[in-house]
Amino acid sequence: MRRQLKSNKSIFLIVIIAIFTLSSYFFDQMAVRQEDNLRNSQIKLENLNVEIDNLYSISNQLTSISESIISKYITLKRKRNFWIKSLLLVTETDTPSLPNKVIIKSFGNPEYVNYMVKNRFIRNLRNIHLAHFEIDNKFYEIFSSNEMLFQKFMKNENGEKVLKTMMPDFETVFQEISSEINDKNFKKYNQISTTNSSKIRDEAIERYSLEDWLDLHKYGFILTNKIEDYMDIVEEEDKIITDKIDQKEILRQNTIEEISKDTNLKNTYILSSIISQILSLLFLLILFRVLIANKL
Amino acid sequence: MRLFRFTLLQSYFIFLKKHKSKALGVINLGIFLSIFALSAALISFVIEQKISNKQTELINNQIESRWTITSISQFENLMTQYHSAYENEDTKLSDKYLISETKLISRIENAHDFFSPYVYVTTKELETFAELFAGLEFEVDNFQDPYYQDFFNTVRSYYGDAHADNFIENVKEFGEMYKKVKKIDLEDYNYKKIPSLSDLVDEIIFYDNFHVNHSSKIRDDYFDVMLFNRAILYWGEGILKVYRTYDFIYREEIERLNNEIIDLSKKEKNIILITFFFQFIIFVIIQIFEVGSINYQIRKLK
Repeated sequence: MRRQLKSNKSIFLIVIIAIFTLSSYFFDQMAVRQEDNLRNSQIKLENLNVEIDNLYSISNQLTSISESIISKYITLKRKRNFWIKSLLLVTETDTPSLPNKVIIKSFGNPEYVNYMVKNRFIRNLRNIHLAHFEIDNKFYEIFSSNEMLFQKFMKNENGEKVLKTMMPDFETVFQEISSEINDKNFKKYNQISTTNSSKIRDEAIERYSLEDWLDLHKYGFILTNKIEDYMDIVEEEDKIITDKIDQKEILRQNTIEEISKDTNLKNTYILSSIISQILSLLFLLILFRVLIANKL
Repeated sequence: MRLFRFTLLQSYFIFLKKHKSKALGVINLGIFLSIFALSAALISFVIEQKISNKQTELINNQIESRWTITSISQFENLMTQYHSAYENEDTKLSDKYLISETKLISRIENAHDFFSPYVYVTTKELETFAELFAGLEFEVDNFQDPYYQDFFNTVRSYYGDAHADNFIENVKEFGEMYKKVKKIDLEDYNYKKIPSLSDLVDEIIFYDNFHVNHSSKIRDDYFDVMLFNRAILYWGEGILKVYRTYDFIYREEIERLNNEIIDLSKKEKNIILITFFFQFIIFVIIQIFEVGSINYQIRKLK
């Protein structure tokens, strides 16, 4: 029953059919593998999109902080000498060249003006502290939700990573100007600057000498100057974020090119598989033709 | 199994001697169709390459469009903040003009107190601004810079000549004010030194020398800074127009690419369908022979 193949042509055709059938399977497999690569690249692209959007959002938030710092800085800096000059003018001090006596006389209620100026003086100092706390809080909101990007602001505390404060140490700031300060008692001035208690304020209004007020003015002045440091932090961090955005943009462009290549390759494999199938069928038909024509 | 089927086919083909021309006709049809299918597959391959390239182009455009939209919203936000800050400053200045005419206030808050923080902050910001544009090799104060020329052309083509000419004027004014403000020495306005009591007393006594409403260098610098900030607002309006035009161009491009991809996909879908139809016919022809060979053997065995 078993017949031998008499023609080399037939053997050759069978080998060709086998090759195309095998290559069809091979291209199918390659297409499946390529699909995996493509999926990974697409996930990478999506992740990069999210990362870039996040970086833009951080940059935006830093711009908002910057505007807030600038506004606070201008307002407080404009008032840097306002209350001390007011105090010199509306209270009876021993500075002979000042026209304060004339000015005091022009007020309907000089006691109230005296009290009000000193009270506002203290409140202004409190506002300077509040500005520091508010800015620090804004930094905290951004940095704490993006810890990975702001590792340099992290510190270890009891084995846990916590965010450092951006605020200067008020006592260190006070020490910076200690040579210009009359009473070097930081606690005294810090308490009056941060208190909510009207009793403590009223006591200070009653007891403080001109030297004390001048010390308070100097402390407030240097604290206002320190607000400028936050602008430098924002500028530096914004530059870092912008550089990161640039790097990620390059990475995203590369990923898009990768996806494009992978898609091309996947489609090439799929179509190569179809072409191999068609070619194997074509050669099978040619084999049939040869077999019939040769009558074996 | 394949070899067994092939053996069956061999004996079947010998049997087909009588219907040789018919069989060859059918096989020739199959070969003809397979060449057709092959050409169709190659055409769909070419179409697929085109789709793939357009898809890459589309992704790039989508990303650019996304970036433009984000930039528009960021820039718009920034400009709103600038605008309100400028208006706020303008109101404060008007109030200041008036209350500085009272002796008490003119003694308490002088030109240095009022003008210097604003001048200092704007000049400091300008340094950052200048660094940013220097990094982009963009001469922001030169309206003839190629970036600007591109911007003007963009605005001209989408908004018309009047808008483009207005934009050019605003950029020129911005450039002039930018150069003026850049000349201001930041250190002149940092006022970091704590004034002594005698400094403060001098300021109070000689208040007329530092009066807000009297002309002085600090006052001139302040007005230059104010004019610069106003110029930023008009300059920003033009830049926003450029961004909006880019967004429009990207959206148009995305729509065009989408339509092209849909069109090519339809063509490819049809061609692939034809390819599979041809493949199916070829498969049926082959099956006719294979099934015929099996039936022939069954009949022979009976």
